Amino acid sequence: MLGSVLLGFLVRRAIITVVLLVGVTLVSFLLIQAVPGDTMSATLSEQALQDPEIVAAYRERWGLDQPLYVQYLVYMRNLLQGDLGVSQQTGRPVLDDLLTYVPATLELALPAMVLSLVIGVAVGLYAAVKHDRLGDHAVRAGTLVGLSTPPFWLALVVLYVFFFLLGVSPSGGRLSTWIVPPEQVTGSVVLDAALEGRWDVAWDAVQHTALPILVLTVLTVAMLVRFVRSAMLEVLDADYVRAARAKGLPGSRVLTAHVLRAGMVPVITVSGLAFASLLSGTVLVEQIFSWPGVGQYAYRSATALDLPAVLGVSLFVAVVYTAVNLVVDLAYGLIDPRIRLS
Amino acid sequence: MSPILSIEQLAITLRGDLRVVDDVSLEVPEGEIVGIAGESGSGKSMTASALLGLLPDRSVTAGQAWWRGGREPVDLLTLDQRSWNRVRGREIAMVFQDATASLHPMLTVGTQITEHMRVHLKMSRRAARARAIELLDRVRIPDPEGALRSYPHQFSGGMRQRVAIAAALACEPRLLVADEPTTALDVTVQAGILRLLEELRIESGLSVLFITHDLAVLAALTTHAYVFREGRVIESGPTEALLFHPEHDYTKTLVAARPQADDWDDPEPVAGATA
Ligand SMILES: Nc1ncnc2c1ncn2[C@@H]1O[C@H](COP(=O)(O)OP(=O)(O)O)[C@@H](O)[C@H]1O
Ligand SMILES: [Mg+2]
Repeated sequence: MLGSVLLGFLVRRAIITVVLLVGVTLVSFLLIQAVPGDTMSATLSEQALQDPEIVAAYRERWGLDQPLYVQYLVYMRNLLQGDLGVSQQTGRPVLDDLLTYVPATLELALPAMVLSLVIGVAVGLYAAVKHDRLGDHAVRAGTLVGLSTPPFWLALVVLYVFFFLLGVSPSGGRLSTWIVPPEQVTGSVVLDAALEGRWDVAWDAVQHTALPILVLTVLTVAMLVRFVRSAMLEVLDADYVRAARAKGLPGSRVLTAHVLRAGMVPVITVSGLAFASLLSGTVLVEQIFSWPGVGQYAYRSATALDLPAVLGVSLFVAVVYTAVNLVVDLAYGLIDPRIRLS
Repeated sequence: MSPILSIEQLAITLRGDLRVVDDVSLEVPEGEIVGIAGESGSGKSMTASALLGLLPDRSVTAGQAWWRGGREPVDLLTLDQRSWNRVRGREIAMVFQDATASLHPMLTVGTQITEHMRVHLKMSRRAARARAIELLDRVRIPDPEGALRSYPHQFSGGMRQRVAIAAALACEPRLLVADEPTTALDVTVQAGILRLLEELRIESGLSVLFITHDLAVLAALTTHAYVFREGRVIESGPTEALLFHPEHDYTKTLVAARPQADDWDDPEPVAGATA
């Protein structure tokens, strides 16, 4: 019985996600329509517009002679086949572009998120336990500094210290210039190098990720800590935590099994948002570390009015938020039986 | 025989110099149910919290609370963390007013009944489960095995309080501190729980410190009672004498506020005493 309830929960979430994604494509399709003037002249270059053959092929491919709903179906068909159009800037299919830039961003965002969660939850819980005592004040001061530091400034400072002063870090990029990059399999240089057994190359790549990950982690932790602290404070005050103490459980068990468990529910939401923004909006940090990620791609496409690329990135961001939303919901269900079993 | 718990001139001051309990002396003889009555805010819960070391941060206590249920007498007000974890749950257990709030919403009933058995009694998972099933059966939860896998929100209020009582009894404590455990429940459910406590007292010699603001419950359950007001004990004695021949004006008001002052066995809630 428990199994079927669980399955029902998963199916419901999956259906909601599909509906959301269809909505996202609809919005992104309407955005193309809303672009002033002919969508063709916005997506094709001047030169291409002169060529009647190209224009005809374009009309055909996107179904431009058909009514709007047919155009949407054509757009969906192309989308489902992975056809997001061709970037004017790179001249490559937008999907291919995304497949190279997204893994680069992931290579920073994933480790930064995991580190931030571990550190943020531990420090936030510590501050909550030390409520209004020295430890709590120290943490508050630290997070305040972290929150009021602009990302690019922090990036410049760590570059200055670790690259210029100490010379222990590379200045940017994903690999040292004299190294031949590994074949792209996962898209993560670290993993791809490891897959080829080139451990020295993998290590070089890891060193290149260190500083940007540090910067992203500091910023995310600062945001998480305050949130974790207030969530945990509320739980520490709950009757069931007093009851757990009254049972004579060791303090560590009360904190991990009882306090953390309940306090994580609100924390999961913010973590999801934090991760989504790590994936989609770290332009300045990518810029400073010459990191060819989604942020840079989006920035360059937007400034060059490269419409297919911009729409591709928007679609990617929308998918990221939807997916994160799904994972957050599933995590809720996993943690809280009241959600899972109702 | 000396009482299993004797509180001597207990005073509790919360941070900000707020004196919430003052000069309270109280005894619980072994194997008896002793009552504390009094309007809300009179310091009943604070007294109970002091007995389990659960007072709010930065509270200051004075006086003593001699506990004779362990290997040697200890003053509960001076225990360090390690000694607390030996006394709490194992020698003295507590049941809270609101079972919905005092059970963890995300842990199974099984976990919440067995976790401290495994810590205190070093029981294996299987042995603890077997004992949990016995306990749930004892507090009359239907289908105890299924209940172990369920979560608190899947039970009714009365059932939840029974689960909380089962958890409190898990390590066979000598004293149960029950802080208004039936206030949130309806009359029939309440009567069942009171009967259960009385049975436990007779069968296993459990001592109970029962807090209530309901004089009918006090009369039905306790042999000895203390009346609290504004953090002080203003009257105490055998429950019957206390309720039929109150000396103190305040107790008289409490008793008079009760609708049917002649039928003490009826465990109906007293509206007037809630204040
Ligand atoms: N956490 C707290 N902080 C400050 N004052 C409190 C706190 N808890 C209770 N009090 C105060 O302590 C007094 C005694 O409360 P309590 O022992 O809970 O009363 P009772 O259980 O008899 O209703 C009340 O005046 C209440 O307002
Ligand atoms: Mg109370």
